Amino acid sequence: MERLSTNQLYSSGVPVTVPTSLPSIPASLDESFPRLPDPQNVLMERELRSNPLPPHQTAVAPMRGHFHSSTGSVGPLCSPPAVRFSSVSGPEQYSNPNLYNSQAPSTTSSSTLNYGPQYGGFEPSITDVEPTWCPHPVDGMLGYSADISGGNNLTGSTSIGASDDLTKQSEWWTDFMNDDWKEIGDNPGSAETQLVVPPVQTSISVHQPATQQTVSSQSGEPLAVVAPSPTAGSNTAKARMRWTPELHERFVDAVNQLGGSEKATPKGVLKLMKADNLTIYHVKSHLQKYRTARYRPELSEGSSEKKVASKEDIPSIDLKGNFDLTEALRLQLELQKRLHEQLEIQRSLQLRIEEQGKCLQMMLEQQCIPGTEKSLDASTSAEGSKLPSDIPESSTAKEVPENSQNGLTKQTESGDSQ
Amino acid sequence: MKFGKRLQKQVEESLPEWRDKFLAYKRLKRLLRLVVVSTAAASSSSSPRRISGIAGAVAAEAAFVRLLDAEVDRFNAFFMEQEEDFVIRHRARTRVHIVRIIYASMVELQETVKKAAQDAARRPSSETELSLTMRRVRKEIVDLHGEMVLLLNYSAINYTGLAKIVKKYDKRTGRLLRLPFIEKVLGQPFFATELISRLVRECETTMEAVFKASRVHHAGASAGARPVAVAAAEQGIFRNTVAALMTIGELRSRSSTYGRFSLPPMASPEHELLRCVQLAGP
Repeated sequence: MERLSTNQLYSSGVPVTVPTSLPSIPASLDESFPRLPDPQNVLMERELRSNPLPPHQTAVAPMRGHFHSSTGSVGPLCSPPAVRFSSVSGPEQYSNPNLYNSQAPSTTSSSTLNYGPQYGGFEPSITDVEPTWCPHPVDGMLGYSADISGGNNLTGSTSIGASDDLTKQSEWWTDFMNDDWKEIGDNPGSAETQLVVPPVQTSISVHQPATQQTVSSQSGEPLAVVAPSPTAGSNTAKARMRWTPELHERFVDAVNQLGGSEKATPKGVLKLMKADNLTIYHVKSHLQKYRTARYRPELSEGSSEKKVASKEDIPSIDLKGNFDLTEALRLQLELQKRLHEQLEIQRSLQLRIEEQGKCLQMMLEQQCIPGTEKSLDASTSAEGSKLPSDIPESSTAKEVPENSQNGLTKQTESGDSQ
Repeated sequence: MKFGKRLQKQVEESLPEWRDKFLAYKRLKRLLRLVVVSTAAASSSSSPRRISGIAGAVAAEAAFVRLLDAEVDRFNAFFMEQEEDFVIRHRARTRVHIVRIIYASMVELQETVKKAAQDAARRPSSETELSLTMRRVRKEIVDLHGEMVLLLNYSAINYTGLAKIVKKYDKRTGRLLRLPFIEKVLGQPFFATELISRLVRECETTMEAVFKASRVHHAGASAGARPVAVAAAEQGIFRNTVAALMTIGELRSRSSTYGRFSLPPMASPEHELLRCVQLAGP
């Protein structure tokens, strides 16, 4: 993941002291990073944690250089990983709106900031989920590999992929992609890597039917929170599903149709629910939770009654014991409500502050005053100075935003979210 | 008090399964220190050692960012798991019990009237099974409400911690990590708490109906006896809530760095209530 963030640093124009051993990287990073598809990043960042650097120093730079040259290829570049992961280029192919309807925040950031909730190594598995978007990425990929081989004279031997297990392929591809990003500058121009790429793709294309299944299993995964840039690229089993009450309602209906939580099977429920992005693993775990949730109340009914009765004996006030308990409950609830209220206030304030910070930033940038971004953010970290001194510090070069700054700082007076 | 300490206190007071799910603030701070130190070392060392020094600095920064991201992932996973649990429990509780409550309230009213005519000194253990069940149900709903609010608190405190640590990072290293990182965090599942808030409000509504109903037949009860002792006897959620409120109050009362991104102080009535509770509490 450091890859992701350091790139953000680069692209935001920060004077990062790049080590001298990475000469050409910053330039190419700047250009090509924003165009790189998400899945690779997500994948990379995940794998970085789990697989520290296997030796192929596959270089991103030469690949990307290549991509630059063939103009159409960055688009289809999305596809090969998209064969196994969701394609950033085709968000419309995903149909997961219902899963994230509860989320309001708009992510203005580009797809690079996308976070998939799914993690873990990729393990393609054939699932019952129908392929929703197979054709397009596969086509794209085919186009891409044709492009690659045409452009590069690197007609790879398909030997690598042809009879490989899809799992092995994907793991290897994963590692390969990982190291790409991790060793981003370490090995510019290792030609072997280019050899490596096309065979994978062509072999993947050979396995088209299997791929489609894989693809579908990927598409079956829950989307990342950020609606515009769905990413998967993770293990189906470990993927996280966001259960909304509506989805849960459908689940309960399906379970009831099948005769109750004990009788219902995950497969049956899955079939009945007809939800696009649900996999059997999700249903299985959810069913288990559902069972325990319903079973426990039944179980504790007997014992809790005794418990409750004994609790009433504690205050040793006869009739009042009952009332006290209710009062206690009410107090507890009051306290909790208070906390909830405070949290809501805090949250809305924080959001608003960030929002206004962004507005200010934009305004300052529009003013084309050099160093404004830095000073804007720097002033927020300005230490020790109370509000009044904060204002002159940050508004040295700006007259227009000053008023709004004043208003903003006054608003946030005397308190720190820290 | 410093944030790290407050966070520690909060973690201590949390429900046991939650304790290791909070932000690893200390670790991040240590990493940050490492970054600063290694960057300083790199820039001040002579040129032969410079490259390794710089590599070290870069590695430290990378590790910092990596940890940040790993933490966010952890939050997401835990949050969504809890959310799923709450969705299940919420539906199970409120659905069934709204009906039960209405029915039970009616029945209980009759029973109470009958009982009032009986020996008043008799211990309440002879209460109807229904009312006992109702009490249990009410307790469960309130507990569910409490846990959900605590999950919201979990999200808030982790967000605050993240915001603080990246602000420190920016300040110490001069980078611009804060803005893009926070933007990303704002879009994360663990920060998107609208659903849980809604469930919480629904619980509140349900409980208000319940209390209103119970108020009807307990109209004559005196609230003289201090009920706090009973409530405080149950640990976990209640204490955790109190701790959370205290933390928020402290977070918002005073700060060493005021800035554009600071929050205003909390309203004072909280402190009064909290103080009462604290005194009477465990």
